Amino acid sequence: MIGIQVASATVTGCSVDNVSGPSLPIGILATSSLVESNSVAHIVCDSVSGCPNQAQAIYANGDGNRIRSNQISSVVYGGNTLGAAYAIYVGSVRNTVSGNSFTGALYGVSCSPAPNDCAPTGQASTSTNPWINVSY
Amino acid sequence: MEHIRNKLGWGLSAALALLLLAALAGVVHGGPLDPTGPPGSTGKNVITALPFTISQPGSYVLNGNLTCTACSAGQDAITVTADNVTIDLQGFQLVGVTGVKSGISSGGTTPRKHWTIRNGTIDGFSSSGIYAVAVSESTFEDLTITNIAGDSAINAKDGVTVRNVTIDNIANYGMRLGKRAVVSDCYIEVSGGSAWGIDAKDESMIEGCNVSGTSRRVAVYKSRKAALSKDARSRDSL
Repeated sequence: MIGIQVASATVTGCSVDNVSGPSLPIGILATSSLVESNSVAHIVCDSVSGCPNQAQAIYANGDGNRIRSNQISSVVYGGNTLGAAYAIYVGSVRNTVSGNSFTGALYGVSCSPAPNDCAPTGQASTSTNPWINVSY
Repeated sequence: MEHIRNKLGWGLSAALALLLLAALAGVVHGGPLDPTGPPGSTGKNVITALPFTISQPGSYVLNGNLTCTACSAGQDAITVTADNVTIDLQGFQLVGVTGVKSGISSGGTTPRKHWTIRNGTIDGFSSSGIYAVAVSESTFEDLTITNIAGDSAINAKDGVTVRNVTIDNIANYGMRLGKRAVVSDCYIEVSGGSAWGIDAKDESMIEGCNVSGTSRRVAVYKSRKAALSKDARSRDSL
Protein backbone atom coordinates (compact mmCIF):
# COMPACT_ATOMS: atom_id res chain seq x y z
CA MET A 1 0.00 0.00 0.00
CA ILE A 2 1.13 3.52 -0.74
CA GLY A 3 -0.47 6.43 1.05
CA ILE A 4 0.16 9.21 -1.46
CA GLN A 5 2.14 9.11 -4.69
CA VAL A 6 2.94 12.30 -6.56
CA ALA A 7 5.25 13.69 -9.21
CA SER A 8 6.12 17.37 -9.64
CA ALA A 9 3.51 18.12 -7.05
CA THR A 10 2.96 19.55 -3.60
CA VAL A 11 1.84 17.58 -0.58
CA THR A 12 1.23 19.68 2.53
CA GLY A 13 -0.66 19.33 5.75
CA CYS A 14 -1.60 15.72 5.14
CA SER A 15 -1.70 12.79 7.49
CA VAL A 16 -0.79 9.27 6.40
CA ASP A 17 -1.34 6.52 8.92
CA ASN A 18 -1.31 2.71 9.05
CA VAL A 19 0.25 1.99 5.70
CA SER A 20 1.20 -1.64 5.41
CA GLY A 21 1.87 -4.29 2.84
CA PRO A 22 4.27 -6.88 1.56
CA SER A 23 5.59 -4.94 -1.40
CA LEU A 24 5.30 -1.17 -1.10
CA PRO A 25 4.68 0.01 2.43
CA ILE A 26 5.38 3.66 1.70
CA GLY A 27 3.71 6.68 3.27
CA ILE A 28 4.47 9.32 0.64
CA LEU A 29 6.28 8.50 -2.60
CA ALA A 30 7.49 11.66 -4.29
CA THR A 31 9.28 12.67 -7.46
CA SER A 32 10.42 16.28 -7.94
CA SER A 33 7.92 17.42 -5.35
CA LEU A 34 7.54 19.53 -2.26
CA VAL A 35 6.57 17.39 0.71
CA GLU A 36 6.04 19.68 3.65
CA SER A 37 4.43 19.67 7.08
CA ASN A 38 2.87 16.24 6.87
CA SER A 39 2.43 13.59 9.52
CA VAL A 40 3.37 10.03 8.59
CA ALA A 41 2.95 7.22 11.10
CA HIS A 42 2.80 3.43 11.40
CA ILE A 43 4.42 2.35 8.17
CA VAL A 44 4.80 -1.40 8.33
CA CYS A 45 6.27 -4.13 6.20
CA ASP A 46 3.88 -6.87 7.22
CA SER A 47 5.24 -9.82 5.27
CA VAL A 48 6.99 -12.55 7.21
CA SER A 49 9.24 -13.07 4.22
CA GLY A 50 10.20 -9.41 4.13
CA CYS A 51 9.52 -6.53 1.79
CA PRO A 52 11.74 -6.21 -1.27
CA ASN A 53 11.17 -2.48 -1.31
CA GLN A 54 11.69 -2.03 2.42
CA ALA A 55 9.46 0.30 4.41
CA GLN A 56 9.67 4.05 4.08
CA ALA A 57 7.63 6.84 5.55
CA ILE A 58 8.73 9.25 2.81
CA TYR A 59 10.49 7.97 -0.28
CA ALA A 60 12.20 10.50 -2.58
CA ASN A 61 11.99 8.36 -5.64
CA GLY A 62 12.87 10.92 -8.27
CA ASP A 63 15.21 13.88 -8.38
CA GLY A 64 14.84 17.27 -6.80
CA ASN A 65 12.42 16.81 -3.94
CA ARG A 66 12.13 19.24 -1.06
CA ILE A 67 11.20 17.31 2.05
CA ARG A 68 10.83 19.49 5.05
CA SER A 69 9.12 19.87 8.42
CA ASN A 70 7.41 16.50 8.39
CA GLN A 71 6.69 14.48 11.51
CA ILE A 72 7.41 10.79 11.14
CA SER A 73 6.86 8.01 13.65
CA SER A 74 6.87 4.23 13.75
CA VAL A 75 8.35 2.83 10.59
CA VAL A 76 8.64 -0.91 11.05
CA TYR A 77 10.11 -3.72 9.03
CA GLY A 78 8.16 -6.76 10.08
CA GLY A 79 9.89 -9.55 8.23
CA ASN A 80 11.50 -12.50 9.91
CA THR A 81 14.85 -10.84 9.52
CA LEU A 82 15.43 -7.30 10.55
CA GLY A 83 15.22 -5.29 7.38
CA ALA A 84 15.42 -1.67 6.54
CA ALA A 85 12.82 0.75 7.76
CA TYR A 86 13.44 4.36 6.89
CA ALA A 87 11.84 7.57 7.99
CA ILE A 88 13.06 9.24 4.79
CA TYR A 89 14.66 7.26 2.03
CA VAL A 90 16.41 9.18 -0.71
CA GLY A 91 16.89 7.16 -3.85
CA SER A 92 17.84 9.99 -6.14
CA VAL A 93 19.80 13.25 -6.36
CA ARG A 94 19.38 17.00 -5.84
CA ASN A 95 17.05 16.63 -2.88
CA THR A 96 16.89 18.83 0.17
CA VAL A 97 15.77 17.34 3.46
CA SER A 98 15.31 19.70 6.37
CA GLY A 99 13.55 20.14 9.68
CA ASN A 100 11.90 16.74 9.84
CA SER A 101 11.39 14.86 13.08
CA PHE A 102 11.66 11.08 13.45
CA THR A 103 10.70 8.67 16.18
CA GLY A 104 10.45 4.92 15.98
CA ALA A 105 12.27 4.44 12.70
CA LEU A 106 15.29 2.20 12.33
CA TYR A 107 16.95 4.78 10.10
CA GLY A 108 16.30 8.48 9.85
CA VAL A 109 17.40 9.84 6.49
CA SER A 110 19.17 7.35 4.32
CA CYS A 111 19.60 5.62 1.04
CA SER A 112 21.48 2.66 -0.30
CA PRO A 113 24.26 3.68 -2.66
CA ALA A 114 23.72 0.87 -5.10
CA PRO A 115 21.98 0.66 -7.45
CA ASN A 116 20.86 4.22 -6.83
CA ASP A 117 23.07 7.18 -7.55
CA CYS A 118 22.72 8.80 -4.18
CA ALA A 119 24.87 11.87 -4.03
CA PRO A 120 26.42 12.50 -0.63
CA THR A 121 24.72 14.72 1.84
CA GLY A 122 26.42 17.66 3.48
CA GLN A 123 27.18 21.28 2.80
CA ALA A 124 26.68 22.29 -0.78
CA SER A 125 29.49 24.86 -0.52
CA THR A 126 32.12 22.25 0.25
CA SER A 127 30.88 19.35 -1.80
CA THR A 128 32.65 18.39 -4.98
CA ASN A 129 29.71 16.33 -6.17
CA PRO A 130 27.41 18.36 -8.38
CA TRP A 131 24.56 16.01 -7.58
CA ILE A 132 24.77 16.53 -3.85
CA ASN A 133 21.76 16.01 -1.65
CA VAL A 134 21.48 18.47 1.15
CA SER A 135 20.30 17.54 4.62
CA TYR A 136 20.12 20.14 7.37
CA MET B 1 -54.07 84.55 -28.49
CA GLU B 2 -57.28 84.19 -26.58
CA HIS B 3 -58.32 81.57 -29.07
CA ILE B 4 -55.25 79.50 -28.32
CA ARG B 5 -55.80 79.78 -24.54
CA ASN B 6 -59.35 78.59 -24.95
CA LYS B 7 -58.17 75.60 -26.98
CA LEU B 8 -55.53 74.62 -24.37
CA GLY B 9 -58.04 74.96 -21.56
CA TRP B 10 -60.53 72.69 -23.28
CA GLY B 11 -57.82 70.12 -24.06
CA LEU B 12 -56.59 70.04 -20.48
CA SER B 13 -60.07 69.67 -19.13
CA ALA B 14 -60.80 66.81 -21.52
CA ALA B 15 -57.61 64.95 -20.53
CA LEU B 16 -58.39 65.26 -16.81
CA ALA B 17 -61.87 64.00 -17.40
CA LEU B 18 -60.58 60.93 -19.27
CA LEU B 19 -58.10 60.07 -16.50
CA LEU B 20 -60.87 60.31 -13.91
CA LEU B 21 -63.10 58.02 -15.92
CA ALA B 22 -60.28 55.48 -16.42
CA ALA B 23 -59.49 55.36 -12.72
CA LEU B 24 -63.15 54.83 -11.88
CA ALA B 25 -63.39 52.05 -14.46
CA GLY B 26 -60.33 50.19 -13.11
CA VAL B 27 -58.42 50.56 -16.33
CA VAL B 28 -55.29 51.88 -14.55
CA HIS B 29 -55.50 49.27 -11.76
CA GLY B 30 -52.12 47.63 -10.77
CA GLY B 31 -53.33 44.12 -11.57
CA PRO B 32 -53.89 41.09 -9.33
CA LEU B 33 -51.28 40.24 -6.67
CA ASP B 34 -51.95 36.50 -6.56
CA PRO B 35 -49.76 34.31 -8.87
CA THR B 36 -51.55 33.04 -11.88
CA GLY B 37 -49.90 29.58 -11.75
CA PRO B 38 -47.04 27.47 -10.33
CA PRO B 39 -43.44 28.72 -10.59
CA GLY B 40 -41.62 27.95 -13.79
CA SER B 41 -39.00 25.18 -14.20
CA THR B 42 -35.61 25.61 -12.46
CA GLY B 43 -33.88 24.02 -15.42
CA LYS B 44 -32.78 20.99 -13.38
CA ASN B 45 -33.48 17.50 -14.59
CA VAL B 46 -34.50 14.99 -11.96
CA ILE B 47 -33.00 11.51 -12.05
CA THR B 48 -35.77 9.26 -10.83
CA ALA B 49 -34.57 5.79 -11.78
CA LEU B 50 -31.44 3.83 -12.59
CA PRO B 51 -29.75 3.11 -14.89
CA PHE B 52 -29.79 6.61 -16.28
CA THR B 53 -27.92 8.13 -19.22
CA ILE B 54 -27.06 11.81 -19.48
CA SER B 55 -26.33 12.75 -23.06
CA GLN B 56 -27.00 16.49 -22.89
CA PRO B 57 -25.27 19.27 -20.93
CA GLY B 58 -27.19 20.60 -17.97
CA SER B 59 -28.00 20.24 -14.30
CA TYR B 60 -29.25 16.97 -12.93
CA VAL B 61 -30.41 16.19 -9.40
CA LEU B 62 -31.55 13.31 -7.26
CA ASN B 63 -34.71 13.80 -5.27
CA GLY B 64 -34.24 10.66 -3.19
CA ASN B 65 -31.99 7.66 -2.61
CA LEU B 66 -31.59 5.49 -5.68
CA THR B 67 -30.48 1.86 -5.79
CA CYS B 68 -29.42 0.29 -9.05
CA THR B 69 -31.61 -2.78 -8.72
CA ALA B 70 -32.68 -2.63 -12.35
CA CYS B 71 -29.10 -2.45 -13.58
CA SER B 72 -27.51 -5.42 -15.28
CA ALA B 73 -24.16 -6.81 -14.26
CA GLY B 74 -21.41 -4.72 -15.80
CA GLN B 75 -23.67 -1.72 -16.28
CA ASP B 76 -23.11 1.72 -14.73
CA ALA B 77 -25.73 3.42 -12.59
CA ILE B 78 -25.39 6.82 -14.29
CA THR B 79 -23.60 7.14 -17.61
CA VAL B 80 -22.61 10.61 -18.77
CA THR B 81 -21.76 11.12 -22.41
CA ALA B 82 -21.66 14.92 -22.50
CA ASP B 83 -19.57 17.90 -21.38
CA ASN B 84 -20.77 20.59 -18.97
CA VAL B 85 -22.82 18.37 -16.73
CA THR B 86 -23.62 19.01 -13.07
CA ILE B 87 -25.00 16.21 -10.93
CA ASP B 88 -26.17 17.31 -7.50
CA LEU B 89 -26.99 14.31 -5.35
CA GLN B 90 -28.68 16.71 -2.93
CA GLY B 91 -27.56 14.69 0.06
CA PHE B 92 -29.01 11.44 -1.22
CA GLN B 93 -27.38 8.08 -1.90
CA LEU B 94 -26.52 6.38 -5.15
CA VAL B 95 -26.29 2.71 -4.29
CA GLY B 96 -25.02 -0.22 -6.34
CA VAL B 97 -25.79 -3.89 -6.09
CA THR B 98 -23.50 -6.83 -6.79
CA GLY B 99 -22.04 -6.70 -10.27
CA VAL B 100 -23.01 -3.13 -11.08
CA LYS B 101 -19.92 -1.41 -12.41
CA SER B 102 -19.64 2.26 -11.43
CA GLY B 103 -21.82 4.84 -9.76
CA ILE B 104 -21.19 7.62 -12.25
CA SER B 105 -19.22 6.86 -15.38
CA SER B 106 -18.14 8.37 -18.67
CA GLY B 107 -18.77 4.96 -20.11
CA GLY B 108 -15.51 4.93 -22.03
CA THR B 109 -12.44 6.92 -22.93
CA THR B 110 -13.97 9.64 -25.08
CA PRO B 111 -12.55 12.93 -23.72
CA ARG B 112 -15.04 14.90 -21.64
CA LYS B 113 -14.77 18.03 -19.52
CA HIS B 114 -16.50 20.31 -17.08
CA TRP B 115 -18.35 17.89 -14.89
CA THR B 116 -19.39 18.80 -11.38
CA ILE B 117 -20.52 16.02 -9.07
CA ARG B 118 -21.44 17.02 -5.57
CA ASN B 119 -23.24 16.62 -2.34
CA GLY B 120 -24.10 13.00 -1.62
CA THR B 121 -23.05 9.39 -1.16
CA ILE B 122 -21.97 6.79 -3.71
CA ASP B 123 -21.91 3.33 -2.20
CA GLY B 124 -21.26 -0.27 -3.16
CA PHE B 125 -19.97 -0.57 -6.72
CA SER B 126 -17.78 -3.26 -8.21
CA SER B 127 -15.50 -0.98 -10.27
CA SER B 128 -15.44 2.72 -9.33
CA GLY B 129 -17.46 5.29 -7.50
CA ILE B 130 -16.80 7.89 -10.18
CA TYR B 131 -15.14 6.55 -13.31
CA ALA B 132 -14.09 9.63 -15.25
CA VAL B 133 -10.81 8.41 -16.66
CA ALA B 134 -11.01 10.75 -19.67
CA VAL B 135 -12.81 13.61 -17.95
CA SER B 136 -10.80 16.77 -17.25
CA GLU B 137 -11.33 20.22 -15.73
CA SER B 138 -14.00 18.94 -13.40
CA THR B 139 -14.99 19.20 -9.74
CA PHE B 140 -15.93 16.51 -7.27
CA GLU B 141 -16.94 17.88 -3.90
CA ASP B 142 -18.80 17.14 -0.69
CA LEU B 143 -19.00 13.44 -1.42
CA THR B 144 -18.80 10.20 0.54
CA ILE B 145 -17.73 7.20 -1.51
CA THR B 146 -17.75 3.82 0.21
CA ASN B 147 -17.42 0.10 -0.44
CA ILE B 148 -15.74 0.12 -3.84
CA ALA B 149 -14.41 -3.29 -4.76
CA GLY B 150 -12.67 -2.45 -8.02
CA ASP B 151 -10.44 0.20 -9.53
CA SER B 152 -10.94 3.32 -7.47
CA ALA B 153 -13.31 5.62 -5.67
CA ILE B 154 -12.48 8.44 -8.10
CA ASN B 155 -10.60 7.97 -11.36
CA ALA B 156 -10.27 11.20 -13.33
CA LYS B 157 -7.99 12.92 -15.81
CA ASP B 158 -6.22 16.28 -15.73
CA GLY B 159 -7.11 19.48 -13.95
CA VAL B 160 -9.70 18.18 -11.55
CA THR B 161 -10.55 19.62 -8.17
CA VAL B 162 -11.48 17.22 -5.39
CA ARG B 163 -12.49 18.70 -2.09
CA ASN B 164 -14.18 17.56 1.07
CA VAL B 165 -14.45 13.95 -0.03
CA THR B 166 -14.54 10.96 2.33
CA ILE B 167 -13.55 7.59 0.91
CA ASP B 168 -13.96 4.46 2.98
CA ASN B 169 -13.44 0.74 2.43
CA ILE B 170 -11.85 0.58 -0.98
CA ALA B 171 -9.86 -2.32 -2.35
CA ASN B 172 -7.45 -0.50 -4.65
CA TYR B 173 -7.10 3.24 -5.24
CA GLY B 174 -8.75 6.02 -3.31
CA MET B 175 -8.06 8.53 -6.06
CA ARG B 176 -6.31 8.11 -9.40
CA LEU B 177 -5.89 11.58 -10.81
CA GLY B 178 -4.10 13.10 -13.76
CA LYS B 179 -2.03 16.25 -13.95
CA ARG B 180 -2.81 19.51 -12.14
CA ALA B 181 -5.17 17.94 -9.65
CA VAL B 182 -6.07 19.98 -6.60
CA VAL B 183 -7.10 17.80 -3.69
CA SER B 184 -8.04 19.22 -0.33
CA ASP B 185 -9.72 18.19 2.88
CA CYS B 186 -10.14 14.55 2.08
CA TYR B 187 -10.27 11.47 4.27
CA ILE B 188 -9.35 8.12 2.75
CA GLU B 189 -9.47 4.79 4.49
CA VAL B 190 -8.29 1.83 2.45
CA SER B 191 -8.71 -1.79 3.33
CA GLY B 192 -6.67 -3.65 0.75
CA GLY B 193 -3.03 -4.48 1.44
CA SER B 194 -2.04 -3.41 -2.05
CA ALA B 195 -4.24 -0.33 -2.08
CA TRP B 196 -3.05 3.21 -2.71
CA GLY B 197 -4.59 6.27 -1.13
CA ILE B 198 -3.90 8.98 -3.71
CA ASP B 199 -2.01 8.74 -6.97
CA ALA B 200 -1.73 12.19 -8.56
CA LYS B 201 0.36 13.19 -11.54
CA ASP B 202 2.46 16.26 -12.34
CA GLU B 203 1.76 19.67 -10.89
CA SER B 204 -0.83 18.42 -8.47
CA MET B 205 -1.49 19.91 -5.07
CA ILE B 206 -2.62 17.76 -2.17
CA GLU B 207 -3.44 19.56 1.01
CA GLY B 208 -5.05 18.60 4.28
CA CYS B 209 -5.76 14.99 3.40
CA ASN B 210 -5.80 12.06 5.77
CA VAL B 211 -4.91 8.66 4.33
CA SER B 212 -5.25 5.67 6.58
CA GLY B 213 -5.05 1.90 6.27
CA THR B 214 -7.07 -0.50 8.32
CA SER B 215 -5.20 -3.75 7.94
CA ARG B 216 -5.71 -5.85 11.04
CA ARG B 217 -2.14 -7.06 10.70
CA VAL B 218 -0.91 -3.54 11.28
CA ALA B 219 -2.14 -3.72 14.83
CA VAL B 220 0.01 -6.83 15.39
CA TYR B 221 3.10 -5.16 14.09
CA LYS B 222 2.35 -2.01 15.97
CA SER B 223 3.02 -4.01 19.08
CA ARG B 224 6.20 -5.46 17.59
CA LYS B 225 7.52 -2.10 16.57
CA ALA B 226 7.54 -0.97 20.16
CA ALA B 227 10.73 -2.92 20.72
CA LEU B 228 12.22 -1.70 17.50
CA SER B 229 11.49 1.88 18.30
CA LYS B 230 13.89 1.72 21.23
CA ASP B 231 16.63 1.15 18.70
CA ALA B 232 15.51 3.95 16.51
CA ARG B 233 18.36 6.03 15.28
CA SER B 234 19.13 8.50 12.56
CA ARG B 235 21.89 7.54 10.20
CA ASP B 236 21.90 10.66 8.07
CA SER B 237 24.08 9.00 5.53
CA LEU B 238 22.76 9.76 2.11
